[in-house]
Amino acid sequence: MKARTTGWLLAPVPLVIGGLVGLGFVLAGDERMLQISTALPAVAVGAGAVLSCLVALPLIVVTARDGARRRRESAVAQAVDDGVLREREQHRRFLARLDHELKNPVMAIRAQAAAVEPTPEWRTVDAQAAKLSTLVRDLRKLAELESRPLELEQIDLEELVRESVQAIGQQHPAAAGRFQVVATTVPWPVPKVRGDLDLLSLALDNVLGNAAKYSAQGAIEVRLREQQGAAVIEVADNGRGIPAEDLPQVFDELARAGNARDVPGSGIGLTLVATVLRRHGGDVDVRSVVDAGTLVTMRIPAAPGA
Amino acid sequence: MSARATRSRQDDPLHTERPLLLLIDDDEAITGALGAFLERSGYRVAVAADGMQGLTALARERPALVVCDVLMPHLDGREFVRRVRAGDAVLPIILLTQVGESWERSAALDEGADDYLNKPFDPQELLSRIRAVLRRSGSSAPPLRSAQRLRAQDLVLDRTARRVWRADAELVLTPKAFTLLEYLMMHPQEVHTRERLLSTLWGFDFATSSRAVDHRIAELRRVIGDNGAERLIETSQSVGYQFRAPVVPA
Repeated sequence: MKARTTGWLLAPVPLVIGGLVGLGFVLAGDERMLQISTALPAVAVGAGAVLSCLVALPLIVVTARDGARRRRESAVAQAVDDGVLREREQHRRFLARLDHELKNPVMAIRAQAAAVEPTPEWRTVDAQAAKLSTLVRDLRKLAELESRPLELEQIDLEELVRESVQAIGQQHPAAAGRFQVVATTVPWPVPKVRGDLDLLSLALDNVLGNAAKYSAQGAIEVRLREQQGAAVIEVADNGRGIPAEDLPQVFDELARAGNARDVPGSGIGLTLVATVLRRHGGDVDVRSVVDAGTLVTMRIPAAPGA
Repeated sequence: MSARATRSRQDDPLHTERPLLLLIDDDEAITGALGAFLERSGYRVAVAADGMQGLTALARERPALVVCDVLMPHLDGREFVRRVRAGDAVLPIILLTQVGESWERSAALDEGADDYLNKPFDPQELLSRIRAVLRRSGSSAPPLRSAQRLRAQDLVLDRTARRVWRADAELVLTPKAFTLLEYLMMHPQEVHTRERLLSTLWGFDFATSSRAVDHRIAELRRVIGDNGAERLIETSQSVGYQFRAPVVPA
């Protein structure tokens, strides 16, 4: 801003100096003439050059201005990113401290429960203490996933999906027969992805497990397809769905939908899914209508960060 | 309940001496309760409040095994292990490590402990670790803890170079599969549940994640060609895995 003001102040200086010198000549009675002759082609070239400069000048100004704005915007975006990262890091450190401070008290409770003659009361105390420590530990592990190095390898997603369907079918026998896996091959097959096998199967198990838990009947469709070089996995069920007011928080830690209280769950599953997908440069999206069903779409680029 | 009572009677027939355990932790709520639990399970228990007191207790009476916390005032668990190992290569020690610390990291920080357990743990898990370590240390086989190379039949694993050979042919394993094989070979003839392998080696044991172990076992069996009738790695009662063949330092 200051440079621009100085520019405007300096701009008329040559004109003022020229005017003063001219006035000096007039007052001194100097009436000599300066005559310059130029070849006609040179005049044409000169006129062209002057016109080009007149057109180019504003363009140069606008380009410079855009560059400055872009730099400013990217600096702001960078600051926001840094802020988000810093906040996640603080959150991770807090959970690590909480987990650490809980380990001895929980250990003492569990040891006490094991030291006495086992009674239903002590078994409850032990189970609840174990649950408490599992919850805090899972939150901590979840936060650590943000910075945990990925162990990348080539992954065949169709194979992974079929394995996951089988494993979830064993955990939820009532849902085992309801899974339908479709992998598109025409006109393009689903690309293999480079990813962390353990983390991707963890994410997939969570989504398939949710579909099995929250839909009592009807097909659970698992669709694999290619989309602009990325692999897309859709998991669709016609279960109870997620209430509209709960949808915006669906990826928040410990968030559980108002209509999910009767089904056991920790409320960290979808946070875990979102974290795993983000670490792979992909994303996850949930569309849901109560009593109609839920569609979860996971997108994984062929290579992380691509 | 009756199973546990029977087991502790077997461990402690009337005419044999109960093995002495030394329990070192600065938290009295833990040593009190854990000590009572271990006594109920057929052991005698001596308690020390930090590594310094632990060394004093060792000088008084040599226990069959030491269970030692890592974070303690005066002398912490790792320094305690170093000082013990300076004069005693065989005394079995189980370290109670920091929450979230992986076995790889624990083992790299300290080669002197025989096993590691993350707090808070199921006390029954500590009991099965104690039994396994005592069984290993009771056999005449040399300890694997400080071996750089391990051998089981024609399978050789180099812990430092992180390389594996079978019948002199080098095998290529993913880092996770290598760590799993190393862990199983370091703790042979013991059943490891999927959950324990996950929390120990992967550092994550979310409720639905036990398939990660199966994936790596499948990779190990494929790469080391472990498909015959006499498998090196065995699935145990569908709860976990064990390295069945005897392992010796190579």
